[in-house]
Amino acid sequence: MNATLDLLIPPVILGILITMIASANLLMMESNIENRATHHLQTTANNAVSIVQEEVKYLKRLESANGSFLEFVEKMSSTSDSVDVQIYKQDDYLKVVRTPQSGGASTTQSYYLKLESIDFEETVHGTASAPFLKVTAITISSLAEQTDDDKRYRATAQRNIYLKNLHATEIFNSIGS
Amino acid sequence: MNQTFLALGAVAIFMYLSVNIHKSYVQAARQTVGHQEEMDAINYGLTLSDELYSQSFNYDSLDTYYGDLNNLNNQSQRKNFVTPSNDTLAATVELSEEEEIIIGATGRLATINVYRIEKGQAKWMSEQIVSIVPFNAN
Repeated sequence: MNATLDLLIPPVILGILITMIASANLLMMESNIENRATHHLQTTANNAVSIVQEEVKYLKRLESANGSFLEFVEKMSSTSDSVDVQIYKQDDYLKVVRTPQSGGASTTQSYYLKLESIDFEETVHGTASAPFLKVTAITISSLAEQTDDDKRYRATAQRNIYLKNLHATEIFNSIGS
Repeated sequence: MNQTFLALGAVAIFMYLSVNIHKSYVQAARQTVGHQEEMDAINYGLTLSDELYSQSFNYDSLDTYYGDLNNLNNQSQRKNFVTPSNDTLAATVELSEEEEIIIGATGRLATINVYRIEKGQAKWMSEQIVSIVPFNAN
């Protein structure tokens, strides 16, 4: 009996060892991919709101901020032309389209941000009645970034952006009138 | 008999190793979640920074609206926010006395601290300092 056990145990231990090494490697690989993908998605979501914040810097008048579509007019200085700007989601991309109001070709910029959704909302801050733009971006992983087809990773970022130019214009207009 | 003990020892070592491997996996996942939490906290801090900047036009009421937000343990004396990923954040704002921010311009500094509330316990996440200079339209 002992002799049979002596013969059986080493291969069993070896088997467990091999399975363990293989599964540990697989786990580490999955963990690596998962970390990289989620980290990337989180940074991308953050970039999406930062890009919007930069783009609305010269905002003069807000046309519409509803759902995934943002439209506004920007004017860099008192002498420069007004430009109509549209920001929206198209597939994974964030599109920024600028059309000069004086006529002329529009320019389009596309940012690859793996967007699942982007949401714009115009809000007013109660105490100072200051206009704010609330931006919520959700990014989602592509199939190439996943270890399991059914398990998709998501990341979110949300920021309320203060529309200073708009606020200042409102104040000066109300004083002037 | 000796072989059986050896086998038991081997299994014990395997279990120990396996637990450790899983532990490192859980730690990695925890770090990923932690990164999202940090970013949420920083973004909330930036939102509050923008809110305070907007008070330049309402400088005299700073104390009325933000003077009391300095007690983390009292829900009504802190700012509360639920992130899109359903985390509860709380923030406190501390206003400094009036001081010279840059030469010729006096204003106040606001220190924003953002905490994450988990099971009633607050965990410090981020700090932002903004300067608010009065902007009088008239």
